[in-house]
Amino acid sequence: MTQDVLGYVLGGSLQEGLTVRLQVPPHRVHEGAFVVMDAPGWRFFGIVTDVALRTTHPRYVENETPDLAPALTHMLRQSTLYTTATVLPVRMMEIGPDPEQDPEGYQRFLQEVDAGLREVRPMPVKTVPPHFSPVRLADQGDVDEIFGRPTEKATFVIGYTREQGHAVRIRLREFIKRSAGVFGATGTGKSFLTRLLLAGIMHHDVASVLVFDMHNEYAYDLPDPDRKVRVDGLKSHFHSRIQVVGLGPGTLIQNRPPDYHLQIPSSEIQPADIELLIHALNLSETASLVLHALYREYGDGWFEHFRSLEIGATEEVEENGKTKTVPAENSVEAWAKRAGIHPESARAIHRRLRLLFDRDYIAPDPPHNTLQQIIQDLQQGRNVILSFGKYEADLDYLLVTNLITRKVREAWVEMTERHRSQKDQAEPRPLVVVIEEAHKLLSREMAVQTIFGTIAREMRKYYVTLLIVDQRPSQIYDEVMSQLGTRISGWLGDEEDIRAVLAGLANRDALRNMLAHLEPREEALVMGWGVPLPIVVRTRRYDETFWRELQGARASMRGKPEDLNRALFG
Amino acid sequence: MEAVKGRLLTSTSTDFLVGCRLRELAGLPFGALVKAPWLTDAPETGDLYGLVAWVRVPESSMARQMAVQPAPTPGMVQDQQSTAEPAEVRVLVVGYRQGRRIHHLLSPYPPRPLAELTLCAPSEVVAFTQEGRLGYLRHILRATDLPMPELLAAHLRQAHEAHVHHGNPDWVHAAVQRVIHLLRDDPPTLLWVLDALSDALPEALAAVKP
Ligand SMILES: Nc1ncnc2c1ncn2[C@@H]1O[C@H](COP(=O)(O)OP(=O)(O)O)[C@@H](O)[C@H]1O
Ligand SMILES: [Mg+2]
Repeated sequence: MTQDVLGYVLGGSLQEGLTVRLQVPPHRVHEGAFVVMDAPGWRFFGIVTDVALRTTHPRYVENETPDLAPALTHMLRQSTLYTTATVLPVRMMEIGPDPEQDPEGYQRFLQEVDAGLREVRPMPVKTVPPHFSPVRLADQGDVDEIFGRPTEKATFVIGYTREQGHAVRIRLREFIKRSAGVFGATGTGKSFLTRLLLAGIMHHDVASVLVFDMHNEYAYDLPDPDRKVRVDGLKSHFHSRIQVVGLGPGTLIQNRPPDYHLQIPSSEIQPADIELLIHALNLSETASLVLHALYREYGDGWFEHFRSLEIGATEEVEENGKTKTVPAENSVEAWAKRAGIHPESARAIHRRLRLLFDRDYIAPDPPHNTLQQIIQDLQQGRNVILSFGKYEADLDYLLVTNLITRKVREAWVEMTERHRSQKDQAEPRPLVVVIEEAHKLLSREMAVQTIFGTIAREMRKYYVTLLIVDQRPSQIYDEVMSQLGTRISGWLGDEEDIRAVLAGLANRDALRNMLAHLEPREEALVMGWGVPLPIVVRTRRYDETFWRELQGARASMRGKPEDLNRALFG
Repeated sequence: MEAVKGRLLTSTSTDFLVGCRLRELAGLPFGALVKAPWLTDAPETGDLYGLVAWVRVPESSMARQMAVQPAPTPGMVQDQQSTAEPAEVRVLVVGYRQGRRIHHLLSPYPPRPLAELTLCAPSEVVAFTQEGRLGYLRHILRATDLPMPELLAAHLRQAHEAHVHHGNPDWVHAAVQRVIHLLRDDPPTLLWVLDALSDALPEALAAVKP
């Protein structure tokens, strides 16, 4: 297929990119465009990183050009002024001899490919196309070649190229192999994009998903205030394959009861869980001392015991015939004395922990072990959306996400170890843990304490990866950021955030410009090791059409007549 | 049969000098395409093509005297025009014909001694200038010892007229395009040339051709 040639390679290098002289007007070529350059035997794939106006001589762009006849001015400009694009070559692929010029050679090439003697796949670029190689925009076939074909298993359209609207897929199995991130300023479409990704992962069943749904937006339908339409929740389409879990008894999510309620047995709370909350609870330095003393004395029952103690409780004792008032056996002070802790320290932390003592999602002995239920659901291939209901404070988010993820990971570590030591044990099912407001859990300070930092670092060792969603990537620990395989970022205004999103990637300057020039919403730059080539996409719309496409034509029959009309007649 | 305008005096590879009667100059405008047969043993006939690039009218002793007369009579002017001393016409070689083929290269052979110079008819101007890739323009643009921009402008105007006559008014655009291409690395010269073309071809270059 002969496609419009945009121009020809004039020079350049692998490092700095190729200079392409355009023979089309500059508006036809945008920064970030995905282009293809064919050279004898090889096809190169690259991205446009810059477009520049040039002249063969500076004299031709000075004001003092004489008053020439209009046609002369026109002809002069046509041959002395031109546009170049800088193209960063990223991938190359062997394509064999030209079938028209060397049909035999081409047949031989195909036979060698069929026989497995040659590997034909896009690989990282190691050289450059020769001078005057023609450059064209990638067509759908090229995009498929690089990002995944519709016929490939578990690929999923995440958006469309900006110039020509070619569908861009991600390979979901690759995507979940490493932790990934969705970034962008507030309102750029992170939550919608995450919905899309989750729908894809669930639909293709490539992993179990555990979503910490801090803002109660993923499970059930909700109105979209921006567009005055209803946004389908994932539960509405995946039904029993998603378990919606509400934090605490009686919690309603979007006014609907969840599948079950989570109550955490207080014996599951470890001192380290509380240590995470130093800021959230405004604890002092001595808090650790107190917590560990409690744990030494009561073990897993420490929380319950401490909860049962009272500040300032006294009792009267007879001593040498006199009645004395002393700290009661069930007082914080009595315990402190016994444990050798300063009573004021013990009182302070007891006062602070009252916030937690009052949380109804922590119970001494909940009737159902719903924490275990979550783990089981995930192990059995269901997905869990834990909605926080009325608990919107950082305190709850930090405590609950970390504790649950720790328990879940323990289960996965155990499964992995069993799988590795016993031949007949199945490989654990991959698990993706989704965290919104990820910087709260993965700040520099938190990342070393929370289980999330551990998961990000150990990558896929235990089949658990993170999908972190955040609007302030600069506040996420850079060690964690640099572990992320796929990064999808919407527009970011803050220079620090941009730098953070690009941390550890090659060609950061080019990517920075692409990022800075995104539309403020529904456009994203997909990049990182998880994708073969950084690309700007118009994000796929998350709407009825999306669900129809995902679930096939059957679903459209259930729609309202006008929907059906639209489905049939476009 | 074309009228003979003059005869060869001397030649080099790039130009030749022709002597002609003063009154013949009226039929040899600056920039006109002319030709003269070449000197060869080859069976094929051939001509050198050139442009009238420079003309020198010699001085005579009579003229010196008459110039200071208050009012020379028409008869005196007439006498002066038929003076025996020939005018010199310098012709810039721009190509040649060998048999039926036209080439935009320098001629392999010089013009014959006393070769007859004739003016090319419009149809021959068209035939010569539409040959190949307009390579003959190179010879003009390289002639830096001549008022090159003026020569080019004069030539293009005459050639354009011939092409218009033969139904090809767009020829001049291709020619100008080629000039721009050849000179674009020399902006001062190119801008001089374009300025001259603006004057020489105002109508032809008024509108922008897509
Ligand atoms: N893929 C999409 N499909 C449909 N609407 C979208 C999409 N992405 C963004 N939007 C629109 O943009 C608004 C903001 O998106 P949202 O995902 O809530 O942003 P963020 O989570 O980044 O703050 C949404 O309310 C919706 O109207
Ligand atoms: Mg959001």
